[in-house]
Amino acid sequence: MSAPAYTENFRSALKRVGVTPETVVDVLGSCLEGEDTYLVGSLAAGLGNAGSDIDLHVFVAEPAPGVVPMLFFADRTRLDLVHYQVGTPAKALAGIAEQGDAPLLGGRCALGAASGMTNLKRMSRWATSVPMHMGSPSLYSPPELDRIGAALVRNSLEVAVRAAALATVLEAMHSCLAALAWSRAAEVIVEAAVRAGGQIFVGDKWLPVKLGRSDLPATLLASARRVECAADFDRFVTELGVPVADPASLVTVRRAEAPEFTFVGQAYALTGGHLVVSPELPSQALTDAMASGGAAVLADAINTGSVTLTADQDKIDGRLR
Amino acid sequence: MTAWNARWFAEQATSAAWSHPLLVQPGIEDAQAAAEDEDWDTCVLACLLTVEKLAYCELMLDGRPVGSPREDDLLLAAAGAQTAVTGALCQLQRLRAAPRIDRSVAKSALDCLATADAHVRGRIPIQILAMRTPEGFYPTLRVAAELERLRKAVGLDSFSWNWWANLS
Repeated sequence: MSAPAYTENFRSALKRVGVTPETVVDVLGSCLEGEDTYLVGSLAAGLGNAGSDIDLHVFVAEPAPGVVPMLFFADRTRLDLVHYQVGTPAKALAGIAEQGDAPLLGGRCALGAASGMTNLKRMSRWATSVPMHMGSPSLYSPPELDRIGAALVRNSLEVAVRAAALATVLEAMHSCLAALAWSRAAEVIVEAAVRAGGQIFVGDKWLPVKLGRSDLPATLLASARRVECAADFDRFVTELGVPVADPASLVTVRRAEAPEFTFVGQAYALTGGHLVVSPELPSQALTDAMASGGAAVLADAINTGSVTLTADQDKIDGRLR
Repeated sequence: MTAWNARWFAEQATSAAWSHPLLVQPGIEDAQAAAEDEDWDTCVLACLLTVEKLAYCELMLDGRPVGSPREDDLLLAAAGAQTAVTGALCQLQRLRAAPRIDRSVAKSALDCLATADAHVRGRIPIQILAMRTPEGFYPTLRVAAELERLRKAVGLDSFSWNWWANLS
């Protein structure tokens, strides 16, 4: 029996890197044996360029041996191949908590904590995938795509809140990287906006292209890049209608479990192979932690993992509602 | 230099040497491909993200605490260091503040990336091969096997290859 024909979308996406479906089969041979094969990644999402990799996911009936990427070459073009068991996309979707959503930036933002980034990134790839062969089904239905979209908007919001809270610490340390940290937090807000507008492929470097394809103002990214302090950030998010101003109030700081050692009255936590001064944490508020021990001590504690800083899901939900 | 602390080599230098092909090399390719496409915004952003990964390599070489290469954590970890790479990050932020990203801004960003890359490569005591090429792939695997042998010889556990393989 002859193999099903290649989809036109698959052939057309590969043209960007000057490769044909026939070449892909020639290079990968029996590694492509399975139920269905999909092109994923930037080429599938219509974002790639001549230097992009060809990322392929093959779904197989038997349990896949973990997520082990395999690298191949078609001349200078890289082919990244991963095997997944059939049904993995549905299982990943089941990992998204269903707690409803709220309007944000013209789209929907999930309520409740977003799923882990690895899971979300995979789902974003499957949501924007292109089947290799005619007859292979879409990996998600339109309502499922909406759920994934809302979860990805939520993820951006959480990442932005945490990044902005850490920028607060950098600012208090008078670090030269504080301005960069603030501007990157603002760019994550732009990422939330493009995701809310339906561009749900996850890939940091593609933000300018995704913005160009959205209905959002082209100047938004330049505005985000010029966000360089807490006041700029608050103004930026308020103008966009994203309720995450004063990000330091939207995170909690907690001490992690770690053995402690005391030398001449000074307590240290042992974590990740480092001994680090344990900062006083009078409450779970970031501002209290910085005021108590100083921003630099807190930064060391976060860097070593003896203190964790996380987005407060209930507070974010409260702002979204 | 002709002698190194073997445990530093097996732990810190190995981590840095492995993160270069996995995190830095794809970033350099992205920045160059975007420049060839005359997509200056993407090029400058790719340069920034790649210099951040170089900061990650540098932090590991210095034995400073750094968990994952997640951007917000990475900037916090790099904040205490005043190095060529953190200097490059500050320079890139100044470039990004331009009202319009054009060819000349992208050219400066690419120069900044090349300088930071040369600096970090110069500190890694292993020749870094272009892993993501047909001619560099298998020699890189041989380097990985030899590093694993070194780790065993100095009493370290096996390198966490699975964690690294899924980083990018």
